Amino acid sequence: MTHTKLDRRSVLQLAGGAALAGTAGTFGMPGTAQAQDRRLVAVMPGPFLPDGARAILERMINGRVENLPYVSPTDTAAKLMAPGGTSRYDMMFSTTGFIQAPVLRERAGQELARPLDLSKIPNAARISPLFQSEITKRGNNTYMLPVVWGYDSVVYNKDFIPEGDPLTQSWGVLFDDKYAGKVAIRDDPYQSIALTALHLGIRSPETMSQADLNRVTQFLISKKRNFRTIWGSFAEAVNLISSREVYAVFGWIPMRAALQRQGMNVTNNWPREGLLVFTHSAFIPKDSRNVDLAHAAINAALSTEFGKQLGQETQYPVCNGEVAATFSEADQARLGYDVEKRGIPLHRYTFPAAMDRWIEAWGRFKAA
Amino acid sequence: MTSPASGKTPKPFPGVRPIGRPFWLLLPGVAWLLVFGLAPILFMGAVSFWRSSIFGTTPDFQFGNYARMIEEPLYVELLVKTLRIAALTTILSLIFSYPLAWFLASRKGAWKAVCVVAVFVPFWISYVVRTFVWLPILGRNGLINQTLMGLGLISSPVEWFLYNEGTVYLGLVYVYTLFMTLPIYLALEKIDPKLIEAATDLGARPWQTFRHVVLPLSWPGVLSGSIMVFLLAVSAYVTPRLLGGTSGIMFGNMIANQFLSNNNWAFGSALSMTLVAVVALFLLVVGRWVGIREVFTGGKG
Repeated sequence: MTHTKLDRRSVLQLAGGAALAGTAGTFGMPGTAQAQDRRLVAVMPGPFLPDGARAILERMINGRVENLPYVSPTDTAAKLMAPGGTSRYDMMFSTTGFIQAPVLRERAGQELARPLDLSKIPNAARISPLFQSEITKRGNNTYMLPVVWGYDSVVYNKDFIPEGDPLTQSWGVLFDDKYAGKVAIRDDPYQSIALTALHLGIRSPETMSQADLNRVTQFLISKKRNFRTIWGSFAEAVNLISSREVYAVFGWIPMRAALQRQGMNVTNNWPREGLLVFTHSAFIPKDSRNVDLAHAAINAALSTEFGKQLGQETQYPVCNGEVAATFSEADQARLGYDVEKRGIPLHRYTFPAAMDRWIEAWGRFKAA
Repeated sequence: MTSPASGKTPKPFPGVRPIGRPFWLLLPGVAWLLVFGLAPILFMGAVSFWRSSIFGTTPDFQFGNYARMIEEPLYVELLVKTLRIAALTTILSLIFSYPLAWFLASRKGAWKAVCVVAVFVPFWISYVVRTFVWLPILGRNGLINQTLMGLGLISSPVEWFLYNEGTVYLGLVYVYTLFMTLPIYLALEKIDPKLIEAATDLGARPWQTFRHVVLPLSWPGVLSGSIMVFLLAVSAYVTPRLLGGTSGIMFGNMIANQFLSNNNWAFGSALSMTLVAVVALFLLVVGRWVGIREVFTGGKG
């Protein structure tokens, strides 16, 4: 073995070299400056940027996307409101109904996002009529554009719960004693209370009265024994079904996709009481340093090529109304593009006015 | 310390001229305590009087967050449940860890090193993974159920292995074992074997030797371990959520919901401050009884 003697001089030389290399990009050394300038710092859910879709987006913007971890709409709002938060990121995606208020804030002029220049996002014209109402505007300015949409329903194993069972076409599959002990819901006050309220016939859960909230809580408590457990993470829910610990979970589109990739005989239901639907909107934080690149990225995310690839990789549908036609009828049904034809009410995610009370109600259910 | 002959304090480094009183040596420690100990608590205390809404948190001075905790019985209920789980976890950890620490302390040579490393190894793995691993072991189609069914001891899977309060205790004791075992092991290691020999020579039976010699000398380790396990268990969040099933809720889960689901930092801070106050009170009351002061004062209190 050869030993290299490290004296003080050589250590200083090494440190100096490292420092020079580190600052090279900043001072415009050839080959590094361009890569640095074309880097877009994004905060968006990982499933919206799988390898194939990422390659398309990065090719279209001629830059690299550095996607930071996405946790939840609440976390996105916290990131944005933190000191320096409006300049730290170039583009953000989050659940429209939850992020609108924190981004727009109470009065005009207080917005944490910058108005979008729609001349730089020609693909905005492709947004389906179904999602036009999800475009976030104040006055003449547009602040957020819906890009991806999805739905949350019951993902179930057809080996144990026959597709023909009428219960599968209702949230009731989670509550009926027929499948007691074989189902799981999510440890999330919003989603679990909203779906229970819909099941009990409450048309607008987010604005329900305290009496209705109490009724929902009591119903959940009365059905507590029916739930094998409540899951907290994506992997946990997938594992519950794949290990056959339960036969049905309240779940997400990528869970169904992941389980199908494992060879599981699963599908999702279309609850007649109302499907929980969300859109994820893109916006540019107020002090973004890469405004042009962010506009290009939003335009690319709204392109037909990106939307088709995203559907193929993750089964997520997109708000671009032209993408559905690129899939076969069977695939459109599989991905949910036929949701309007199914004739079920679509319940859009909205932040409840009394979220504190919802959290307490959920706590009472768990503590019961 | 003073020199008995002169009555003067001897110089620690003879020949070296001291630069004033060496208070500056305390600076790093004091700065650490202020920045990472006191400041976060003070900040959290201040935020607990603020107001949060969907638009963010705004400075204020109001008692609404604390009033809500008093109005809603759920919070007291959860506090009591959390203290009960933390206390029982501490007792169970002690019951399992003391014999383990004794076993480690009584080994010799290379065998001892191997045993100590074997106790440490699982703790090099993430806390979440060590909790998650119980799912495929205890689940309906898990290792234990499959084994019992394979042996013909049961005809259908046992459901209660998983997703109840008992599993939460199992998970908490497992993940916090090291924090109890290590201080007890270190305390046992310090005991001079001659004291045990002397007790035996004087006719003490093994139980008497343990009760009158070993236990009192290892008591600081027991207390240190108990405090650590209690404090970790009282703020547990992942274990009850993963293993507790539909009833897997502790006070920490309520606090987390305020930050993760609601962006209500003010109320989350008020809940946190309440937990800090209740735990401090609990340690104060129980501590008087078990002599906890020794742990915090290094036996000079």
